[in-house]
Amino acid sequence: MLKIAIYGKGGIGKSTVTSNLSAAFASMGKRVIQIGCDPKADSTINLLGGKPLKPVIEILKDGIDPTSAKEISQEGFGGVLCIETGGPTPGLGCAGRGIIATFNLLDELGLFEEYKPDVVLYDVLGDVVCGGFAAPIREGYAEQVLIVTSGEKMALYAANNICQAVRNFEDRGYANVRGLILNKRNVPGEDEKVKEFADGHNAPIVAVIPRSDDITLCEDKGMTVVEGAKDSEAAQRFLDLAKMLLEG
Amino acid sequence: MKGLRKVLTPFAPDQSGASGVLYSMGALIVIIDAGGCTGNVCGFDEPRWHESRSAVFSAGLRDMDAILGRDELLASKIGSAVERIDTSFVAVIGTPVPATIGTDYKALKKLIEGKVDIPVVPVVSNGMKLYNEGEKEAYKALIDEFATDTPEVETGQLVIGMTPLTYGKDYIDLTLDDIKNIRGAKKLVAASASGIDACEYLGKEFEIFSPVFKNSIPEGIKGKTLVCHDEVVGKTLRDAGVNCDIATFFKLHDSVKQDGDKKITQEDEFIEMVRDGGYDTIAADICLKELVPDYEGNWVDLKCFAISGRT
Repeated sequence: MLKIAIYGKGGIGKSTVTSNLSAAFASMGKRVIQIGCDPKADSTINLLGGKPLKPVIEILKDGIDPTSAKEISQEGFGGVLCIETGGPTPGLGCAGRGIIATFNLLDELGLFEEYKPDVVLYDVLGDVVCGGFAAPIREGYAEQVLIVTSGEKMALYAANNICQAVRNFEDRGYANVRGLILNKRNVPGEDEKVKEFADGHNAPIVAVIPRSDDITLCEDKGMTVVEGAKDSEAAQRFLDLAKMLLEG
Repeated sequence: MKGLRKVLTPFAPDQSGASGVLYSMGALIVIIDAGGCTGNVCGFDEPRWHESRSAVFSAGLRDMDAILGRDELLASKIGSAVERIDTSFVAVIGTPVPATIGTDYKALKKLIEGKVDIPVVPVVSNGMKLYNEGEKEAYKALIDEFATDTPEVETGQLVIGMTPLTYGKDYIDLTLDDIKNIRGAKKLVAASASGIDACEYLGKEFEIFSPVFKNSIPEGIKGKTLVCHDEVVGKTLRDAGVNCDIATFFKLHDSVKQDGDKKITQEDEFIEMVRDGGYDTIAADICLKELVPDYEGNWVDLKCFAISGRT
């Protein structure tokens, strides 16, 4: 089972990348679970025709005690099983605790044993800000981390923080950084800046996603580019990345 | 209001159950709290505290430990303690604090084992469940760490789950050697809900009964009876011929449950069972009697330490 957590600066395109990767794996016939770990709960929306999924924390808040994975998930494009952790009202409670509570519930429900996925993708909020947001890379969850970045200074700053956090966890048996995904913003010298960062952190650039109107247009229709414009260059990059990750 | 207790005091929580299982194993027990949970364990939920020694410590967490997640500091403190205390393993027990800040027990085990030469057994309790759940988690953690597939010693009968929190002074301690050789036991007996969970986790055949009540029906039980205690106490009395329904605030396994039995959570559920059940006898801790002051039948006091703190 391939288990990957996707991190990166807020707004850098993690959910876009994650959903397209899920769609790419699914189009190769793989059983995929995508778990959105963001209180905004919008990770999987483009796998579900633009319709938001009710997050786990909302279900628990309603006093429901789920007894099966079906009650907290929905199948999207290509059969991808979509789950959103959700979280508290902004400014209240503890979002990290929400992720942990959701993960505990997934364990109790035996999600992986029941669904038997080939690939699990965790789409994680912005940065490793606390223990809850490190939960997806703990032992038993993701084994690899992909960091989405552009050549913008703050995106690389966030990527550096994530690399540092993962290194700090080396003695805990956590996931390792598999590489960087350059989600291009077409800033000056972008390729060079990201390559320099990659070399300095011993983290290869595993994919370069071009800035593409195809992605925007598909998302306007509630779709990934792999679903809505499968012959586009962007879709091909995601398919190539999925193939590479499967090959190890 | 759901969950509001008007009469009963809070029952022993899961960290107390975990500590109770580990108490007799010769471990350095570290409860990961600020001090209150350890105080509760030592002051209220552990009747052996005044009669036998066990190394139970609080992690002494403070605000900055919670904010900064200083697992490394905790591991160092435990490493220092191990140098001064003769112990065979370290057990770390969770409480609401690590549950809230998301302490990773697998990682904590790795960190501590990097500093000591003895095994570390984390028990994932959170202070929000009842004691039987903590006992279950402790048994599972001990089995995972110590139970060998090829026991050197063949053990006779082992009774699992006969802890003070369920049985007061009639408890039966398990030793670390018992756990190591548990797969070689000729006969396993589950004496409580957590005992059933542990035996099911082992995957070996087992019997369910309470050695205390197997051949000894408490004096005064007569007619249709409601037993409110651990489920195995109720089952044992039923198997001994008592015409009874079981009510339990703790776990009720399908292997025990029969028509008329009920897992209860609220005080009101107990009151309703008594009001509607037409029972001649209620066999339950006497502290429950205050819930049903109008009940005019026969009451047999079955003490439960986890409910009332009475041995």
